[in-house]
Amino acid sequence: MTRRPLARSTSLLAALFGRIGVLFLLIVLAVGSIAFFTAQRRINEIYDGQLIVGANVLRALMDEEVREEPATHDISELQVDDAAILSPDERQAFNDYADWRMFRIWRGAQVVIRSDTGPPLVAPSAQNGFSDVAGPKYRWRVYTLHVPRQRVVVQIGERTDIRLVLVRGIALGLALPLLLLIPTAAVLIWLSLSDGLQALRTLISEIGRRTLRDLSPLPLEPWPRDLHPLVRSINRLFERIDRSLQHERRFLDDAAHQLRTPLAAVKLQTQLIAGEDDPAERQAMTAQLVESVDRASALTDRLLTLARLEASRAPSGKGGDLREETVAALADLAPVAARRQVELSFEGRGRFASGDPALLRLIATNLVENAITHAPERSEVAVRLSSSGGRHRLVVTDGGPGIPAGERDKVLERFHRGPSASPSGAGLGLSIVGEAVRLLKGRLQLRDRDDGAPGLCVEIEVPEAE
Amino acid sequence: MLAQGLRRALQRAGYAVDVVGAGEDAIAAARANPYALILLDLGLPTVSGLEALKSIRGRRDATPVIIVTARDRPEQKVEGLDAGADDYVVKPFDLDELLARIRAQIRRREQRTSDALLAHGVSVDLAARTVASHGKRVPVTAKEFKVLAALMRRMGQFVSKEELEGALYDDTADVESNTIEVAVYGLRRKLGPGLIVTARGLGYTIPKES
Repeated sequence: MTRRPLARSTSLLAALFGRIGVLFLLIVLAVGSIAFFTAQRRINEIYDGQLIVGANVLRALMDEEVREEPATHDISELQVDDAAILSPDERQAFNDYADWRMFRIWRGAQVVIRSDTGPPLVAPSAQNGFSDVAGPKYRWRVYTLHVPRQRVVVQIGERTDIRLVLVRGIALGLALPLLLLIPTAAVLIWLSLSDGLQALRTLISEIGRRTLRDLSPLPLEPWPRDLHPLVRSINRLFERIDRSLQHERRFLDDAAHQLRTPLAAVKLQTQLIAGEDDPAERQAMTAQLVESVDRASALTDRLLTLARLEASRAPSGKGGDLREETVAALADLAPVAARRQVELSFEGRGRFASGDPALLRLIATNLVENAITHAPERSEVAVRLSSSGGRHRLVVTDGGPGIPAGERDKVLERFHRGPSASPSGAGLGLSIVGEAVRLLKGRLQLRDRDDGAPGLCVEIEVPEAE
Repeated sequence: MLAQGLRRALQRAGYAVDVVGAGEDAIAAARANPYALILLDLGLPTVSGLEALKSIRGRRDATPVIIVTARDRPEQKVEGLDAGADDYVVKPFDLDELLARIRAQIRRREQRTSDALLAHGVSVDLAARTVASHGKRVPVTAKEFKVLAALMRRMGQFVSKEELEGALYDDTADVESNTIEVAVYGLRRKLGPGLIVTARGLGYTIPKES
C-alpha cells in the first residue's frame, strides 16, 4: 500500500481534525443506533411477556367462570361498580390504561367475553402466539392462547403505539446528550490536537530562528519522541551545511593567502627599492622584485589553466602518447631535480597512445614537479608507465613525507597546501592534475608506497586510444 | 618572497630579525628568544598561525604579536585579536604603516609615550633613527645606534653584553666578539665619555638623570 500524504494544501490540524471528526461521528451514530435497537428489543420482549402473563391469568380466571356458568356475557355485565373503590383520578388512569388494552375470549367462532376496545373481530388463528392486527385507528399486538380443555381461545392485546411512545422517549433521551456531546467533543478534539501540534510549531519557530552562524545541533530533549526523527534529520542537515560552509571558508582563506601574499611581497619590495640609495642594493632588490612578479604570474597561469580545465567539457586535442609527454616533462624538469639533488628514474617501453597531448603533458609535469618538490635531497623520484585492460597507468613515487590517508581528499582541493607544502607552492598542482584526469575520463589515486617506505605514490589511469 | 622582503625592510629599520616558515618553528623560536615583537602570518602550513599564537599566549608570553595575513573578514580579525594578537594587518600592507605599528607596539610594551628618548642632553629618535647631542645632529653607525637605543630604552638598568648582541644580530649574522666594545667606544667618543657606564660582570647602563 502506498502511503498517501495528507492533502497538500490543507493544514495538518484541519486534516487530522476532519479525520478524527468523521470517525467520532460514526462512533456516536453506531453507539446511538445500538442503544436504540437494543432498547426497542428489550421493550418488545417485556411487553410481549406481559401479554403472555395476562393471557394466562385470564385463562385461569376463565377456567372457573366458564366451567360454572357457560353462558354468553357481555363485557358490560362484568363491569364492577368501581366508582366506590376508585378515586376520579385513579378512574381516569384506569380508563386511559384500559383504552390501550383489549381482551377477548372465544368459544368456537363466537366471542364469549370481550373488552370494548380492540381491532375488528377476526376469528383467532389456530396457533398460539403473537400477531399484529391493523385496526381502524391503531395497530394492535395480539397474543392468542388456546385452552383446549374448555374449547376456549383467549386473546389479549395491546396497542403498538404505547411501545412507540416508550421507544421514542428512549431515543430522545439518548439523542439529546449525544447531540450535546458532539460539539463538546469537537471543541476538545480541536484543542488537544492543536495543543499536540504546539510542540511542532515551537520546533518550527526554533528552526526558523537559526542562521548560518548558529548551526549547533538542536537538543532532542524538550521535543516529543515522535519529533525526534525530524530533529535528527534537521541536525544532520545542519551538520552538512556547516561542513560545506567551513569548507568554503577554508577555500576562501587559502585562496586569499595565495593571491595576496605575492602581491604584498611585490608592494613591499617596491617600497624597499624606493627607499634604497645604494645602487648595488637597488639592483639586488629589483632582481627579487622581478622574481616575485614571476611567481605571481606563474600563479596566475596555473589559476587560468585550472579555470580553463574546469570550464571545458571535452579535451580539444587527441592522438597524444603518454610516454612521449612524460619523457618530455622529465626532460623539462631535469634541471630542477638536479638543483635539488633528486634522482629521476623512468620505466616504460613501447607506445602509450591516449588522448589530448597537452593534458597528458600537464599531468606528467605537475606530478613530477610535485614529487621533486617534496622529495628530500639525494632521494629518488620514480616514474613508471604500464598498460593493462585498455588503460594506461602512470605511477610517480617520491621519498617525501607522504600524505596521511585522512588528508588525501583535501590535497586535491584548490589552494590546499598539505603539511609538507613548500612555501612557494600555491596548492594548485594536484587540482590541475585532477581536472585534467577528469577530462580524459581517467582516474587519480593517492596512496602509500608499495614498499612501505615513507613517501607518496600518485597513480593516474587514462583510457587507451582506439 | 614576502618573508625575505620583510626581513630586509626590518633590518633596514634597525631591527634584528629571525624568520621561520612553519607554525611549530614559530612556537619554538618564540620560546627560545625574548623577542621585542612577533609578526605572524596566519596561513602557515601544519600548525596554523592562530594555533601558534594561542600556544605562545598559553605560556603567558606577553611579547607583542602583530598578525600579518590575507584574511580580511571582520570576524577573522576579531578571532585573531581575541586569540591574543595586539594588532592585525591585512596584506598587501603599506611598509611605512607596518613599521609605525611595530614601533607603537614596542613603545607600549616599554611603557613609553614617544619614540624620542632624552637623557643627559642626548636625544635618540627611534622612528627617524637619528641621534642629537644638545640639539645638534650627531652621525652614528647602525651598530652604534642599536646599542645606544637599547641602553636608552632601559635607562637606569644594566644591560648585559649578550643582550646587546641579541639586539644587534639576527640568526643570519655572525657575531664578532668585540663588536659591542667597538660601538660603545664610538658612542663615548661622539657623545662624551660619561654617558655610558660600564660595570664588570653586569654590562652597560645609561644612568637615570638625578
